Amino acid sequence: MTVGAARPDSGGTQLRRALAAEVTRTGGRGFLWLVAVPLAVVLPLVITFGIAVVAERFADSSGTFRVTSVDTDNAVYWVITFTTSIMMVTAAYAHAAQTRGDLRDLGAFLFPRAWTSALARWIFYGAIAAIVSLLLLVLVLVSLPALFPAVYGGVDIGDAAGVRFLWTVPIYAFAACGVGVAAGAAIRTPSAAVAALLFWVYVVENSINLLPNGYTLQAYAPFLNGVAATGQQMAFLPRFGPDGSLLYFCGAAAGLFALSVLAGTFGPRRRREGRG
Amino acid sequence: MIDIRDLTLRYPGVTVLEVPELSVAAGSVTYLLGSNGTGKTTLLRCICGIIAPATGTVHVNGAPVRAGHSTPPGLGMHLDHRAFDPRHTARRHLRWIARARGIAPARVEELLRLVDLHEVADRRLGGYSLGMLQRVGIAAALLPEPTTLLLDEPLNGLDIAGIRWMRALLRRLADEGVCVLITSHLLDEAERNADHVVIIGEGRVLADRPLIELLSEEDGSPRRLEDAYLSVTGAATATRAAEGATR
Repeated sequence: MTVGAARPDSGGTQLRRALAAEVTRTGGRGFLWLVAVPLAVVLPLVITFGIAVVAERFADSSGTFRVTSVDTDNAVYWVITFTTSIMMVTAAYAHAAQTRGDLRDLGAFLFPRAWTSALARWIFYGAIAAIVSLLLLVLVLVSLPALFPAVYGGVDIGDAAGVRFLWTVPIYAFAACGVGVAAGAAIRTPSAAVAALLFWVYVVENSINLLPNGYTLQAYAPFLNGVAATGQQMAFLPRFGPDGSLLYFCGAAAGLFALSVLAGTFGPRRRREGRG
Repeated sequence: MIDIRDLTLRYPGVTVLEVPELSVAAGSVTYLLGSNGTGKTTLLRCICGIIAPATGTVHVNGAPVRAGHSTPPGLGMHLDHRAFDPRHTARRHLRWIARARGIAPARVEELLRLVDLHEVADRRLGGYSLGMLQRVGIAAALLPEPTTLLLDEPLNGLDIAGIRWMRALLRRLADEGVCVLITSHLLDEAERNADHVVIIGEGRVLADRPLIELLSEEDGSPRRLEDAYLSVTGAATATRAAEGATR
């Protein structure tokens, strides 16, 4: 048996171990690799190529429908939307599930500094989201013009919009996972955390302009700014310019993450009583 | 070893723990006894650093425990047999804990054999019996080769063979110098296996004595641990009732 008092582990050591633990926890045949990642890959591809097949068919026909060509800046919308959202809610679910209920004490014992396990999850899920989105971007931007030249012939991975997607979307996806972990830390019921995120992204940010002076508020909507900052064609101008809005989204993610983790560390304990 | 000084823990309107002094020696099996809700698990959580006490200090193996700072080195704990993801296998659960504590995965295989779960280690924990889950929890507690071991009612759900196995394991660990602190309601088991007994009631230490002393009446005649326990806790209840009557 080990004898004597060893030195306490530093925050850096705890972070490194938390990252390794998350890799181990999610490895093998689990939800992440059997459901979440496949869904994050397949769903945007099915929708993107499904639309492309239909559009190309109409473009080839001599019917009354007229299909306009698609530029690079509107070719990867479903990758930006679904890959990011799926990985974000997966991160939220994972963090909420690991910091509540029966696992709470064990988690607090193994990861006494709450920020280490939270940051490890952000890095882990963020890295997966960034890598998956980058691979999908390359696949979509290369294959669309080759397979569907009539509609997507103008799509070019090497043009300014294509190159911008290649670095902004992975950053956006990575930062979105930070928002996911923050939601998981703040709302410790996994399904509620997921529902709150989806409600915010798809309902609140898109409908806030219906309120009086809603346009002013909507200009600061983090996800809309984040998507617009990638260069995606949309009816929303990035409030702080393309690069500034990406920074704004990353800053919002970091701020939410810090607030939720700090609240979890120093806030009132939700389960005080012992059993015996 | 564990050394507690001036520890208090308060929740709004109630003092949960008040422990002026408590030491648990290395190389011994100490049973922490008390009724439900008297603070046994809460005390273990303070020792683990899961809860920060309002006042006082806890040292484990000579190092101060600081809640929210670091896992006490050399401390193994098994507080809750339900602390697992039912979709995970025993092997993955233990590897996760090993990774989190910086322990080589080879240790997991060693412990799976020790707790006799190596043949079912790739089955999901959701299908395990209570006794099997207790063994998983004990394996998790032993992962860091602990010099101090905290076990919260680990005998619950174990069959006869499992209880005998646990008894032998705790004795062997104590003989190797490990400080073992274990909570239980099984007084017969405590009487059979404890070196030292701590009895707490309403968050206060009512007795902290070697087992052999507790098993002797004041006149030197022998008594069962159950009688000693009821005597200690009954006396405390009577004292509190008397205090209440004089107010």
